Amino acid sequence: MSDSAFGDRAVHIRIDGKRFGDTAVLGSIALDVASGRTVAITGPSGIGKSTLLRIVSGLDHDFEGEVRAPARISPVFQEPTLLPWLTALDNLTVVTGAGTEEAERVMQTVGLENKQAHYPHQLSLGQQRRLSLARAFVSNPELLVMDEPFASLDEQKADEIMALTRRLIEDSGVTAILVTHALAEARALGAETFHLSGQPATLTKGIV
Amino acid sequence: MSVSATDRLRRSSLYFVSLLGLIATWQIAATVAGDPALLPAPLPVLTAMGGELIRGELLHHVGITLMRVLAAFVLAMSIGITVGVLMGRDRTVDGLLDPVLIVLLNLPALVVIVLAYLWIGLTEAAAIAAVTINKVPLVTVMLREGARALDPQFDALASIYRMSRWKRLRHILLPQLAPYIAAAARSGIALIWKIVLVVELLGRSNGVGFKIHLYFQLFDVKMVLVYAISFVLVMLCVEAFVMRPVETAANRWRSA
Ligand SMILES: Nc1ncnc2c1ncn2[C@@H]1O[C@H](COP(=O)(O)OP(=O)(O)OP(=O)(O)O)[C@@H](O)[C@H]1O
Ligand SMILES: [Mg+2]
Repeated sequence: MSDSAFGDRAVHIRIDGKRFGDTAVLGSIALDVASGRTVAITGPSGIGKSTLLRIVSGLDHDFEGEVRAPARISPVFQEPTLLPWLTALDNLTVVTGAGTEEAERVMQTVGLENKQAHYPHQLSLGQQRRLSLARAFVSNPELLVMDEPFASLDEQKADEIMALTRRLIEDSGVTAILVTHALAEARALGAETFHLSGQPATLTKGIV
Repeated sequence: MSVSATDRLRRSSLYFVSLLGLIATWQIAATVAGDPALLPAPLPVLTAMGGELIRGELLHHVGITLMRVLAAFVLAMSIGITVGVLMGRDRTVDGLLDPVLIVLLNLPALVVIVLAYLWIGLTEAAAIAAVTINKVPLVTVMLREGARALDPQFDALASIYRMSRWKRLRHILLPQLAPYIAAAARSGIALIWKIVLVVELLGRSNGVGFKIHLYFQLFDVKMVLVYAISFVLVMLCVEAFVMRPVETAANRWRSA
């Protein structure tokens, strides 16, 4: 899967088009993310950001073009998306296949060391977000795909989680793609920013 | 904790008051009627029940009926869950099977039973099949609803992490469907045991339905009540000691 020309964790996107029925959502999109870099994609609601991310994540194969991405991908969604019937620790190990020790270590990193036996509904929203970050990093991912991961948080919590996310990204050297409609979030992660616009949508570099 | 404990005590005492009221009403009605052949009082019925129990008749027939209920229940739940989930997740399957489902839902139980006996013969297989076919559509409808309510984000999570089929089933699909399965099981067991009695009445030579039919022909109200009440008691026990504990275990995480 990985391409040596782009390094181990690089992402190579060459989409020629993506449509839902008669609607062309994505046009021609070319984007290369070098190994270990963080890229942010901004754009208005309904433009196709999530669609693009689903393609990169390998969840949607029904498009024209070619996408090369590493094998080990971790998602972070707008909602924590934890399984309510599993404890915090099981949410890491059962879903990702990570070992207990590794899971305990990552939970410590995100400040949840004494919450292993808690169920998600026993955690605050901020703690749930940190648990979902822990899940993303416990599997030692090569690529992190984040779809509006800070959207449902108030400003202070968002700042805290963004700082934690940035630290985890830098420590792990993971390649990351962030989808957001807030430029401040892109800046907080030190991301190179691209803008998605038009119908069908195309990608432009920098701030528009 | 103490609140829920007193609450439970309150509920169970209300339960007993209600039960006692029912028996008292029965006793009064029997006294007013004044004809034991028409409506025997609770005590003679209980005595007759003891007699049947000692002769071994009661357990034999109740046991046979219970086995039929169990077989039809397991079959109807397995088929209904599978088909319901397929219909809820796949529009083509849904469109294909929806008319069949509507026809089956509106088919009177009696018609299914009679046709099963006519086409398959007066056999055990026909009896079980008739009950199962009566129940499958309801389970299917409930599980289709459950499958439509499945969270697509969990599917995305499972796909990205390449979770195995078994893990998906056990940790993602079944826990989400559990409330729907529980509701289907609850309404299912109630419907099934009632239909089993009709099936036995129409084409079996053993079981509670057969015995009730027999005593009906002899105009023996007391023995009809003995078998009817015995089976209601058995089904209440199934509800209390099987269905409810399973449900409680499945819901443990909610109250953690
Ligand atoms: N499964 C689908 N079937 C049909 N149309 C879809 C589907 N998924 C998305 N779309 C359409 O594709 C377009 C892009 O959707 P997408 O979810 O990618 O937008 P987005 O940029 O992520 O928006 P938001 O910021 O609101 O999350 C929308 O017009 C949407 O209606
Ligand atoms: Mg989106």
